[in-house]
Amino acid sequence: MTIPIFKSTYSIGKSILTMDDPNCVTEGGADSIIAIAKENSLQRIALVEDTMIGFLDSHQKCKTHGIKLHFGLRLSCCNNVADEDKKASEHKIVIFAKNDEAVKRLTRIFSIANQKHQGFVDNTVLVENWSKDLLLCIPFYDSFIYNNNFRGKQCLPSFKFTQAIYFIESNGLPFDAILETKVRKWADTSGERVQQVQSIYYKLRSDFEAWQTYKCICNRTFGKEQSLSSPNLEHCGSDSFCWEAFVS
Amino acid sequence: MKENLLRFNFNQKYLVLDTETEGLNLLRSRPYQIAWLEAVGKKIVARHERYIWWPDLNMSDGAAKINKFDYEKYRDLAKPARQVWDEFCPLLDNHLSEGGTKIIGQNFLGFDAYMLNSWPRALGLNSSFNYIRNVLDTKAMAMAIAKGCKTVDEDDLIYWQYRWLNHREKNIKTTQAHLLKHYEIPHDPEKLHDALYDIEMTFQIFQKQIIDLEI
Repeated sequence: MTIPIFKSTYSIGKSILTMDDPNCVTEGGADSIIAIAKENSLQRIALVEDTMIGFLDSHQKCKTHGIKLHFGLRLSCCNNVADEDKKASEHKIVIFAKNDEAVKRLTRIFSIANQKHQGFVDNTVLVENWSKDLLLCIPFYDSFIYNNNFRGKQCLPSFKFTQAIYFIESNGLPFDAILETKVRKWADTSGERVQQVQSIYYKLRSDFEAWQTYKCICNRTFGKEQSLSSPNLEHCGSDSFCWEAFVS
Repeated sequence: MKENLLRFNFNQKYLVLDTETEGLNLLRSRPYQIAWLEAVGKKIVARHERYIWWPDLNMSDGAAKINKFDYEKYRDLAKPARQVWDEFCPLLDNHLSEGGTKIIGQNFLGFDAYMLNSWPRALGLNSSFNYIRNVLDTKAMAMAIAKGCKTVDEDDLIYWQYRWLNHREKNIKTTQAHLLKHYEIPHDPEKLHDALYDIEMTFQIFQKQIIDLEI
């Protein structure tokens, strides 16, 4: 079974899906995750954001529409938060909160990362703030497995304090299959689970251009001028990060 | 001395590939020209060039300028996209089924692989990356060589290439033009960005690289 993992505009530059009430969705306007959930009779949704800022709004919207929200926070993790060059070992993790108490803990981890460590956590921060109400997941594309194998980083995470779930995606990128091989091998070796997921950043395949335009606009790196014919977005070669691809 | 190195393997088959495209969008841009050469060892045994007809070709200004795109030449030489795909795809499959053929390209993993995906997609066909482990990317190899690497990770060669392809360093150039100069390969800069010329140059660069690298 593949699990859809939504992301909203609260994660700036990543998704063009809002958490708006379905009544607010207009023709030609932004699509809403709540509206997609209602249209497809989803009783629960998994939402992974890069910040806690939208949590309360998402929680309230889901509650209003009778949708159970599984909220996950995507964080930058490094070998040691005291390192000057944290980016050298940067990789992403996702932490889901299983209940209200866990949300408080997640907020605390988010605050520690942003107030003390320039947006990073490390193994020590995680161990000190962990509880069994949290669920650790390892995203497919920007995990330590991807970064070590495809970017030559030396990420050395230790997730022995919990059982992690490793996400696998199939979006038609040239390296999907060879990355999957590495993820499965790692999970097998460490006796942990893999889970097929589908990241969703827009509703239809035809929204790819809108999403790419949004990414170009939000891209804050200096360099070559960006356009749709030359977006300069690395490995941005799939229109499968959408609801349509999930249901097809 | 390792006798199984490519530099000593005169029976090794190669398929050297390059595409010229209407833009640099990894999903939507389509190739309008493809060239491939087949080689055994150092010897080129066949050269092919095809222009691919897209009635709605949407050349970006940047691509047209860099590739010195000549619409009249394109119109005269191009064959229907499906026809060229039906010719090219079995050839690629044959090389894969024979096993061992190395697919050579400059920035193949970062660009041409996507174009070999966008082309069938634009025709409503399925695509596959089942050839990916056979690829040797001269851009990735160039970065490794520039960083002083002498050996490759044979067991994880595709990952090794991605690692070097994704490695960025301001002062290291790995463009085809730079590599031609670096290896002192006689060439005409005016002819670069023509797929047929580029693959000849890529193959010459590759021949130099397999001396620099124990691969």
